[in-house]
Amino acid sequence: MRTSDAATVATGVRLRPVPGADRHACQDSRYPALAGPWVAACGQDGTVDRVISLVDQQEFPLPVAHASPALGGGVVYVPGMGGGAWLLTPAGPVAMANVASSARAPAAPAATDGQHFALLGEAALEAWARSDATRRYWATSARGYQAPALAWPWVAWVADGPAGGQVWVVDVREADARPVSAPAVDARHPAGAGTRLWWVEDGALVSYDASTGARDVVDAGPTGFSAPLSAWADVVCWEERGAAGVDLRCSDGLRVDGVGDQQWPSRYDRWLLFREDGRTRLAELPLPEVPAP
Amino acid sequence: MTTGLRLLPGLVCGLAVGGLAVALDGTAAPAGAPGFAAALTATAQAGAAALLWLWLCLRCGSAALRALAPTLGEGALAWLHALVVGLLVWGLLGLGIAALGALGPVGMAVVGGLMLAAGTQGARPALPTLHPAWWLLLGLMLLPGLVHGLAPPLETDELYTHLALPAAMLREEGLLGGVLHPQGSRPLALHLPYAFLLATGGEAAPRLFHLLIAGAVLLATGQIGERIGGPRGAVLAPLLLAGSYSFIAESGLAGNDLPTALAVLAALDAGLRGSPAGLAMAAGAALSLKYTAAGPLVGVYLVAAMPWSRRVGAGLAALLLVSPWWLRNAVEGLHPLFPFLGWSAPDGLRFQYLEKYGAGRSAIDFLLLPWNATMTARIESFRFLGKISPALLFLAPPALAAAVGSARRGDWQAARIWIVALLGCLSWALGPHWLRYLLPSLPVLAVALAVGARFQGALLGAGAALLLGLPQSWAPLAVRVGDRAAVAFGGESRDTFLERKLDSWQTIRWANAHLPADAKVALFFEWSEYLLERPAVLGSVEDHVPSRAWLLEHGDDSLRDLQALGVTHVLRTRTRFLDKLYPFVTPAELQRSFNGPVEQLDRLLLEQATLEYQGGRTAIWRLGPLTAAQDAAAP
Repeated sequence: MRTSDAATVATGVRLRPVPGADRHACQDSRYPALAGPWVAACGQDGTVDRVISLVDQQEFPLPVAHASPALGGGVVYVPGMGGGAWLLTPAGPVAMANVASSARAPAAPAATDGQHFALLGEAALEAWARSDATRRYWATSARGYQAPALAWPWVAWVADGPAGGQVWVVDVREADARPVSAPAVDARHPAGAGTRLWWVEDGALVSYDASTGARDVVDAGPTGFSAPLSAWADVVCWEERGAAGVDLRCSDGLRVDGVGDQQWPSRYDRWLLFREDGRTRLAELPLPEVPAP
Repeated sequence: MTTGLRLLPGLVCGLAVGGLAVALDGTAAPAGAPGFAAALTATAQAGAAALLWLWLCLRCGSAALRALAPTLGEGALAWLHALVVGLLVWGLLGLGIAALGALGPVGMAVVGGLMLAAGTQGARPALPTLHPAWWLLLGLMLLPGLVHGLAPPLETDELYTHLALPAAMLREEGLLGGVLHPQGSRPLALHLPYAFLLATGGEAAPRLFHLLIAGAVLLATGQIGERIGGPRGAVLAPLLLAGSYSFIAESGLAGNDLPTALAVLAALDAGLRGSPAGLAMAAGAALSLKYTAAGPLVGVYLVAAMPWSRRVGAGLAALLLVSPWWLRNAVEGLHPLFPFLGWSAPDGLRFQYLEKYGAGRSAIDFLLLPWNATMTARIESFRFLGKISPALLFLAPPALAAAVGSARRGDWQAARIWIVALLGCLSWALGPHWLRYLLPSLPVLAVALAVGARFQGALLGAGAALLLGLPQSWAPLAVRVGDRAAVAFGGESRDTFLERKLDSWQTIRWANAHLPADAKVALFFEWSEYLLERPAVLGSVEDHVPSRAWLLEHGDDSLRDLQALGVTHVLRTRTRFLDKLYPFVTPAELQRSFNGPVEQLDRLLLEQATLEYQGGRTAIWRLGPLTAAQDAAAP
């Protein structure tokens, strides 16, 4: 196993550890991860049970612990009876009232962008807005493990396909979903932000504008082999296999590479949370310069 | 009119009324649970298969005894010898059809037909005549085993060998073995019959068959105990077994220790009665079932009531009966005793660390072994991994005194049994100190100790020790039974049960639902091969030996070499070998031979494979496409 302290980033990008994030290992390798400017981290039993602020390093316990909660838009969502949604504020988690609860057993972590939610069961996808009293659902044969992606009103998920996984997309205003990934490839790890969706097809990173149906292949090395994609605004981050191990890249140019393996990207705003040889670290882009008056 | 015919109408009416009650039952089963009727149907199928094959063993074995050892075919223990010989014949016939790649419905029907045809030449061996209360007590003693046998399997030995291997042989309709299937290179005298039982009766059939074998061990122990200990011995000897957790916990599982114990008892009886052919067949069966029978068998040969020339001949004949398994390994280019010997990993690979089990292996520890094994054993730790009744230890002095006293009076029977028991215990002491490994000798030991019941005080004391020691053995059994009863009787679904009991089930369930039908999976550091519904290689034995051996031998080519053999996926459970559990291994060796391969695998997967699913510590990775050169070289 390679061991290294040698992650490298571009000039101006700051690398720092995240105190408290590695106190206990998570059951689900996709965590710790970012929920807005908060790190969702794990307790002794490996479930996500607390959040740590990236701004002032304050730590708050979550009212309900879960192995794989949905994180997004500064919100933590735990599906099922006894679950709920919490908005993360400087004063701590605040319960969001009237978020519809689903009794469906999830086949993958749920997804949220703070205002909308999606839950993938073995045989159906459910999606709803915070203000909805009921949930819409679409029948599917979920592949499992891979979370759905939100680019509201579009939702993407991975179903079983002829060559492994197949990405399907639905406009929640419509009745029918449709497959959008290439037919004879293994498609995986959908991520979404704005009106854009990304996923991986046989190692290649695909970008898809849900509003127009246009798709592009992003200039990226082989990816999708381990961690899911991480998307925020119009930026997507991914793992890449390089000659010296696994590195991280983002579509806005942020890179984290080096001798060791840098894995499990989680992006929000100017922060990229990742793990290097088992330790959680943060790459922090500089604040944009404020022009002098 | 015979008794059976007079009882039949009542039995039929009772079954009809009971069956109607089950069929008309309106009680809804919990969501997802199959319900009692479905569980009863599965149990009936499994029970019918187990009884059918047991009956075929008895008839076929009886025919063999008539031809080769007629004196053993008569008398109170005729059923014991018939059953053991029948099992031996079944295993050898199974080897024949499996070697031909015909382990399917036709091949099994041929074997069953041959056993049936042979059975017409034998007498019908009579079961012992016991008071109904004894049959009831026997049933109660085996009740925990029944619940275990009807619940889904969880024990590692079933998941990686005793059910996994028969299921894999059924899938291939033939034999498996070598580095990729190391457990398939052992003698399969029991695993081939288990394959027959799986195919004809479902998952519970091998376990119910094993439960019947456990009952047979208790019966035989009582009958032989009566011979040297009188009526008291007949009662006490089986109670010593039933009062031991390690015996009862094993009874409802598909294992090989209790069938080996049964064969050892048959060998003992044959030896004491001076039947060379009977001794050869029973000893051959015992060694074919498990090599740990060698210890007590040496004792049997030492005390057998026959000239030395006959003993040597019986010994050679027994080895001849085991030799087909050695020849098979040799033909396949393996060490005859593979997988116990013959691994070719660089710098060697030790198959088993004796120091891991028990309470130490110094001279003092060996002297204290009887005390420690009886008084300080813990069920869920490597400190003997089991529990036996303290009454066994209590009876040792009076039983030894009784045996010596009898010998002085010219009656050497008890002393002979003591020699067999002592050699069995000694051979166990030289091996891993795991109480389950003592089971092949434990019934003989129980018989030897039952002689102590001649002394009234000893009998009372044994009863007290047995009763006081009962909670230590039966309380854990009660917990296990309680945990499994709902799923055993249809009140909980198999999926729900496995999800809450088995860490890797979530991942295995995903694999069963989503992997391609032609996927071939390499199991690294994971035991549960039986539950995976795809062909699998490697798996785990002892300290995950196959996984480590492959990685040590193939290094950075480990995954590519598996791919070249047609493996498409890797199922890996995250593992770390802790130094506090391996204090007998140097830190350098722990890293080189244990944790180094684990880290190497994680690195190779990250470099060369694609993560498909992760549930807890267990993950499935898909291996990448072969390079053109490897594709050309693949068989």
